[in-house]
Amino acid sequence: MKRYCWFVFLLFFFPLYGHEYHFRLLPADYNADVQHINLLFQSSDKLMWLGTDVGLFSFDGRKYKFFSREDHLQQKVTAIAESPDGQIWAGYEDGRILITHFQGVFKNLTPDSLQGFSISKIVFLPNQNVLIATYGRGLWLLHDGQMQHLVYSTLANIDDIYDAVLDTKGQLWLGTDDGIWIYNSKPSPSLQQMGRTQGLKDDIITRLSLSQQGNVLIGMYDFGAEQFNIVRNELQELKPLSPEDGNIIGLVNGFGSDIFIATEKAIWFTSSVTKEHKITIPFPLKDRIESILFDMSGNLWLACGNRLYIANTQIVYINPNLSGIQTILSTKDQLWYGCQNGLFSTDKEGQHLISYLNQEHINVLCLYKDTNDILWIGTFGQGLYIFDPAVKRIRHLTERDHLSNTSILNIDGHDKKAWLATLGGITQIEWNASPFESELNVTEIQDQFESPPGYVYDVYVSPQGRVWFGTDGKGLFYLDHGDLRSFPVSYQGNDSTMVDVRTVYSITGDWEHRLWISTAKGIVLCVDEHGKVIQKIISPNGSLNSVVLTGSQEVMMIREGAIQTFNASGQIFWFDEASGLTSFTPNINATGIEDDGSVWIADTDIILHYTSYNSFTNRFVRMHFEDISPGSLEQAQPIKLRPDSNYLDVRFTGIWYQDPTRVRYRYMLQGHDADWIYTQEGRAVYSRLSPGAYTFVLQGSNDYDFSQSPTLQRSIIVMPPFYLRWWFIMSILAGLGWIVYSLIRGRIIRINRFHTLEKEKTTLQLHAIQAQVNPHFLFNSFNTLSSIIEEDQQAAVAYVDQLSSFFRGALMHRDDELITLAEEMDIVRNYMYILIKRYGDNIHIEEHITNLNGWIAPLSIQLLVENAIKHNTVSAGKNLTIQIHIDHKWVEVSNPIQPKFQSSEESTGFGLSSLVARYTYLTPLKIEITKETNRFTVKIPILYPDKGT
Amino acid sequence: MNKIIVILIFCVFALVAAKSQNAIYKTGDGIINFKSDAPLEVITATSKKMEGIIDADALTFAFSLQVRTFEGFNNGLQRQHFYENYLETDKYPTATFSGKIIEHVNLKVPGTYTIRAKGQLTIHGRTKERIIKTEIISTGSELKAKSSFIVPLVDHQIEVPRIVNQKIAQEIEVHVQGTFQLEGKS
Repeated sequence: MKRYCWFVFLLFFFPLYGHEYHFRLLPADYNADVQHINLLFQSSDKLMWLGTDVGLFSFDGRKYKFFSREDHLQQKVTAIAESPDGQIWAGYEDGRILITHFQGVFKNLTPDSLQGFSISKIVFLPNQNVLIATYGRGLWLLHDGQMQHLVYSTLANIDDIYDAVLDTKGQLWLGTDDGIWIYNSKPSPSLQQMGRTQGLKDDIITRLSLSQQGNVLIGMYDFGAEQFNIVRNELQELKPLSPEDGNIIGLVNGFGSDIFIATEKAIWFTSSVTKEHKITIPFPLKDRIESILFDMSGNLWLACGNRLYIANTQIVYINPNLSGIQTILSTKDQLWYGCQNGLFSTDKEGQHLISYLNQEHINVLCLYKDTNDILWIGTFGQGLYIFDPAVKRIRHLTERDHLSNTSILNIDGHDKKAWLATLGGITQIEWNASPFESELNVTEIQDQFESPPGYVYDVYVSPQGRVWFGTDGKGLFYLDHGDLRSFPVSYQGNDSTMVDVRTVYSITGDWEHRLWISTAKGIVLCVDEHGKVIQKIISPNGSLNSVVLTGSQEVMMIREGAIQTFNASGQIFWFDEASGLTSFTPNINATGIEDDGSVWIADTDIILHYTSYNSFTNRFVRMHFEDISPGSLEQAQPIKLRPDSNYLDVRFTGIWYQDPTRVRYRYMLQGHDADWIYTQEGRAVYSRLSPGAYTFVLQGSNDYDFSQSPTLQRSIIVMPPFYLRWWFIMSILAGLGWIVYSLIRGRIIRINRFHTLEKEKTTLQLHAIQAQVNPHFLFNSFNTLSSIIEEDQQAAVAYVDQLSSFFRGALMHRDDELITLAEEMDIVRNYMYILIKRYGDNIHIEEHITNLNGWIAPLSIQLLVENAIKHNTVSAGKNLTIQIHIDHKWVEVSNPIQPKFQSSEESTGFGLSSLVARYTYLTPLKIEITKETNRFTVKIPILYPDKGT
Repeated sequence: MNKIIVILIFCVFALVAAKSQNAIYKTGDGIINFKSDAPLEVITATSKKMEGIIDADALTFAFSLQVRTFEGFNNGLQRQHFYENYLETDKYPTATFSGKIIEHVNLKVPGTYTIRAKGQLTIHGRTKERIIKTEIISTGSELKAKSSFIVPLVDHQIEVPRIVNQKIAQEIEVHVQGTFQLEGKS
């Protein structure tokens, strides 16, 4: 009980000394029963990985993602490494090694021989081999997919390897129970021991890591930490520890030469600049510290039990146990504090407090150190004190010594001159040898209007030697060969009117010799040598800023609640509540610059030490795609979307561990969005995208300025629905084309056919007429006539009548397509009369006519009869009987076949076939020609046009 | 000539036989004392029946204890609780610690050695690897080993109900000492 009381007392009355970071506890929504986080790792894409007792998690600053094993067992992760091709390898306590593949899918790599033995370390060699150090089974080499146990007679007893590290020479250092073993694979595999005989203090080496200079940091079980200097090839002590401090669990390199040595109970800090000291951990350690990591952006991570802490190491808190600190100054070995109740100093860790000038009871407002290390102390109402701490000599100047005012707000100077910015104007002090000499040249400086410039807040001497003054109500002034000149500056206000700068609280210059001034309403202006405003920065809460230039090309703007820095690349960074700045209310110009360019800031009862990491890698928000749906991240570019799923849901995250709430994104779907869309939510959703090609571009920033941010992008193609696809359209067009073509062709064919038939008909008609005007026929007819004339005058007349009737009929119907059956039979009878007159009894025509309705092609029956005579003998010995049957449907003409031996009449060869051709044009009904062995029959269909046949 | 050869061979065998025998130190009455220092109560108990072996050549060791041999609790009921409920001695009657010695020392040479014993400590059926600093005073034929260490109850899943957690500490102080005799060569 007593123990506790003392502790409480200490807490309240003797605040913790030492070097303190603001550790922020990260939310623990693991969604799993994590008891211990035992390993921290950061991959090159800035993502954090946690090895816990239930498995592997990744952390992006906001969300945890669990990586389940394919056997779904929850096992402790004991090793995490990143392969050269960017995949994460996790080694488990039960000997399993799994590889992440596209953020989620694990590939199992465990050899059976390692089952049950935990993996201590996975090291990737440059030649694509992997060395695996285990606890219980020694060292293994993974080569071409084969696991090989490296056994040497000297290594025979080494089964338990605690840790391993690859040094800059490519040698693998192994921490074992038997000292350090150094394994070399080239030129030929060899093993060397570094143990007690080589100066190592302990046999049990539990931790190995590399410092920035390439030295090997060695953590021992019982004797603290040592360092093997790679240049001098010797062991050096880092930090001796005793077993009460607990085991060393981590040795990490911070910024530059800073090294953090973490044990289970505490963290020590050592560097080439500051001497080693313990870091104050501002929360009670209920569990052991199990892992420590210094990330790529300068944050220090701590795993303690199942809790994860992060601290931004750029800002370190020093508590010198003072109150009312109004200004701070750094000299070679000390920090000087100007407080409401006097002047104090401590060492650079805030220890060994000394107070000065006690009897004077001074209220110190500002401090300045001249080139001879003499301190100039400006007070509130008590004038100026000049103090030489080396010899403890003091000089006091007041209004009697021609000071403009006894309240001095700021002092600056160069060479043998100093200027005081006071509540009553500007005082210039010059001296020859030392400011302690009897005659000091003290002048009050007036402006060109012979009036003192009122309250003067700040005096700034630029590197070029020009002296600037910031006043209240009269604007900015500078000294020009002893004359005070006004430097008018105006900027564009909110309502576009020009505002003159009347009040200047703080002044500094930057790397391009531009002037930065802090004016009213929280505005900071960057001005060039002509007074033109190049940049205007407004503080959100309107509180006034102090401006100061850090040693790493940054302009720092310090105001209530926040520190904002602006660097040479134009990036703006914030430090505020969210990144660890707690209740910050500094005075104006309460800053001091350290020799290394870091900045000391006084905040009433605590000091902040800001180190810039401008030269550090990557101050950008690192963007990651988390998921793209439909499709997945694994798909090769570009993502192709089907027309029925033409929506897009992109999830992304930006990594900025220092202050995840500050991360903002902007994205644009090129081809769809006209401009960037700004959001704080890591999600972009699009629906009903029309077919086409798009590009999704994404940027992240932590300060609203995206101009410098790298861009992440993905190509997306939305496939058109099938009815818009090119092949479909082409086939439709081809189809249409084909239809049009066949229609046209059909028409052309029909036209041609028509013409052909017309031609045939004409030819037929011609031939029919020709046949009728056939000279042979005429000759025979006239022969017959002449034989009749002699016999019978009247018969001859009748014969001529018949002949002329026949010709008349033929002529009359020569243009008709169809004539009536009755008309045709008239012609036929005429023809028959002529035939009978010619052949006499040798020809017989039998008629069986039941119908004379209907139509028929003209001279068709006549043709058939003519054909019969033409092709068959008609003689006394062989009579020819032609039969003509006519019913409702057909006209049938048949005759026996009695072929002629010689043909005296020529055959046009055209008659029957052209008749058939004619009929194909006239009707679908066909002429039937039947040739039997001794009978030839032709049937012509009777047409009834008005009935449609 | 033959005789000399036979004698020589015999000597070689004898030497080989002698060399192949490791120097084993044994004890059967080592003392283990534990103390639970809790806000409301202090409990101590001692057992004088620890068995142990130290192989000085191979630098390995093995200790074992029948847990029920502890005497000295504040009362019989407490003792019963320890055995039946917390340590469940019916299921896990033996506690063991075996492993190797880190430092390459020759314990057969008389002197005082501070070594670390690394091994598997099994209590209540649960094993935890421990590295325990031990002091050994050797006279050549006898080893006196002494060590003290802490056993956190959570390491061995020894569960104490909340009602009594003000009476039983979460971390138990353990003190071990034993005198090991060199086993005669046979």
